[in-house]
Amino acid sequence: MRISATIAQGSASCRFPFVHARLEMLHMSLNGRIALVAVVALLALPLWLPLSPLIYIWWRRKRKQARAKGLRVINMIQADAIVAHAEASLPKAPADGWFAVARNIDRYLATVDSPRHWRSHAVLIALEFSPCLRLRAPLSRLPLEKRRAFLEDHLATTKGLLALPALSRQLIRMGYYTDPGIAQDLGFRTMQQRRASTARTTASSSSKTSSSKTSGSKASGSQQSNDQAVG
Amino acid sequence: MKTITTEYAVIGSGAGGSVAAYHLAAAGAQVAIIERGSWLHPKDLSHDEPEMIAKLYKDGGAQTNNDADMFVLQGNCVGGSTVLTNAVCFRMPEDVRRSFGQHGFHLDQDLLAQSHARVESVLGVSALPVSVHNPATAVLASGFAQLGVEHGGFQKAMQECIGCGYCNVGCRYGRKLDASQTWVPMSVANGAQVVPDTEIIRIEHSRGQVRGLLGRDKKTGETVRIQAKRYVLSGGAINTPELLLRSGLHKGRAGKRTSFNAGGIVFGEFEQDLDGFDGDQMCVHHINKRFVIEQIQNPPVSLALTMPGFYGDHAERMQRFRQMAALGVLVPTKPTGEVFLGLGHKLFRRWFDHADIRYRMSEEELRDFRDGCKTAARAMLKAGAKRVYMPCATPVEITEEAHLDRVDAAMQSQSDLVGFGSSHPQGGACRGTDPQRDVVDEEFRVRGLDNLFIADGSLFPHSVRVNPMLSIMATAELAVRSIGGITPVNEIMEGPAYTFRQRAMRGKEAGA
Repeated sequence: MRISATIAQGSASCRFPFVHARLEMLHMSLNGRIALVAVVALLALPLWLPLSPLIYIWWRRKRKQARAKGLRVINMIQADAIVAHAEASLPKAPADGWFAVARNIDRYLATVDSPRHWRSHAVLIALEFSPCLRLRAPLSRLPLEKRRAFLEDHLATTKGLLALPALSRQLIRMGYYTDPGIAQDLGFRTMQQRRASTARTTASSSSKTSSSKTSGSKASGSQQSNDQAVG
Repeated sequence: MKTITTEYAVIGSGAGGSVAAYHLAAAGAQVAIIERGSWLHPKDLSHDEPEMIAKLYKDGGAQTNNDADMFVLQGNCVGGSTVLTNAVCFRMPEDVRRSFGQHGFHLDQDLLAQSHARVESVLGVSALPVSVHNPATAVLASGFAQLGVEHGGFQKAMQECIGCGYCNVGCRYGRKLDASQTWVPMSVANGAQVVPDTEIIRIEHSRGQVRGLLGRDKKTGETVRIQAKRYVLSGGAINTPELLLRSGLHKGRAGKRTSFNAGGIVFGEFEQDLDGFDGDQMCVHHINKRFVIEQIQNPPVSLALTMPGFYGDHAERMQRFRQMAALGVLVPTKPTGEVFLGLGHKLFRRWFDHADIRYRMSEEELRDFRDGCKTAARAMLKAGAKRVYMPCATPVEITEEAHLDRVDAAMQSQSDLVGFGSSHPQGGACRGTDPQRDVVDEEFRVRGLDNLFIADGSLFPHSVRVNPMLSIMATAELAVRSIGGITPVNEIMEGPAYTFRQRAMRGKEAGA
């Protein structure tokens, strides 16, 4: 497997093995990693400050586009990163297409009420631009094969600086496997489906034998009380 | 500004706060229960995992330690974490009670036993019926039996469970008798007031007395001021020390000595479809003094979040969802964790308005965790698993016992683990006899403040090893003796479990 091979190779596959090894060794907290990014951004201030009006306009545009597509809290940069990641790492698109994953994540993030929620947003932004650290195009601009290779080579990790954007895989898994069609493909049956099949089995057996009539009525009685409980 | 004036202000409505509030209200006191989360009725709950995780869990389930390699799950709703548990009820083990005593946390054996019994009667604790066991249970139990490992079922706080398998996102059928179904409505029936969606930001104090609580209504943004004669902190092991630290209380002591039941999940892939989702999530377990192994069959999203493996490997494993059985391995950690307000909180409060959690597994704990994982893997292999997946970043697939040696190399440190976390944080505002070390005195009073008490899991000097809900509830019962000078009645004759028992008794009499 590609991942196993990459891990076996360790930092040998890295373009800057020395730096990579140093970062791996550096035991850094999440806040420390955020601070490191902030310091780098601050040092690069002369570079990006003149561009900041353009960045602001671009950011607003991406947000507007996202709202037009029905997204409540994430912008199109994040949505594109989610779609790009999902497409390259998951086996089959949901019935409504890959964008459904972004929509599910947006729904989750819109419901969360936490002072930490900006971290999830930051992780998605970091995901989009993480290939830039390796002098590549943003994730959503990479061709599918290169994107897949990047994810498997660099984001299949729990350590180092890239562990931060790698956390986005959890959000993407959440957004993907919550899709009812995908869950059904896995063989999962919802409570309603399980009840329906139990009711069918009970009904067919009750029509065959008189003894099972009693248990059938019991089962449907309990079914009724459960539904009442749900209200 | 909204002002609430009451006799007792209980902050937090989880395992500790709800019990304390009930006993105070039942004794005739005026009680207000302040809760940061919302008050959700079973009708408001659904099986939509992301939505429920976002609504019911603190930080939407994204609370982690400072290194982001350990998640810490806590409830954020009326009922607290009890709403999210699998309703597993273990009494505090006797050796743990004795060890607590050695740490200065004395609990009278008889009083604790009485409290356990009373709490169990309110929660309707009974053995989980075999009829709601998920199909993977029998397979895993046979694995434990073949391995010669002692194992058993669970005692749970449930009535007429239908085995939907969604305990961790709240029970939409109202069958799980968590605090929101029992102690909180029972408190309300006795005159208590519940104030949901209200976050307490600071405790105002002067001259050894708490003068009031300053909070914020999360819905309207309005400032809330709470004034009471006595205050009970029951926010849990993270929030209670956080509030003390925010208020400048017990710096250097509050937040220290935090412990966890921490662990991860070992997955076994079988030849046949197990359909472990079809029934109660947790039905079989094994306990020893070093680790606890508990079955945990998750629905798709939670399973995907805990399944080890990256990208292609992960997707392939998910495709075999129906063939998967899962055993969670929990290690009782030493009280080496810490809850603290970091530099971010001091400098950029807008973005870092929360406490940080610091915890690293020691070599000994890591060894216990590896051994627990190996025992779980052996049980699965004995049960017929064709492959076992370990909770680590390096892909380790076990197909025979000889492969178990690979686990040691793959799990060298905490950051090697995947899906590592804890739903049982404890400690942080420990009760004990040492004024230099312990935040809370033997009367459950915060040292230095006459009218501030603590009644939650943050009192524990170390982990209770087993699922702590019952231990916290029983301890809170003991705490109300000091807080309100109340002796709980022998039998509590109200609540859904009591009604259920009465109904069953009437049915039996009618049948006779």
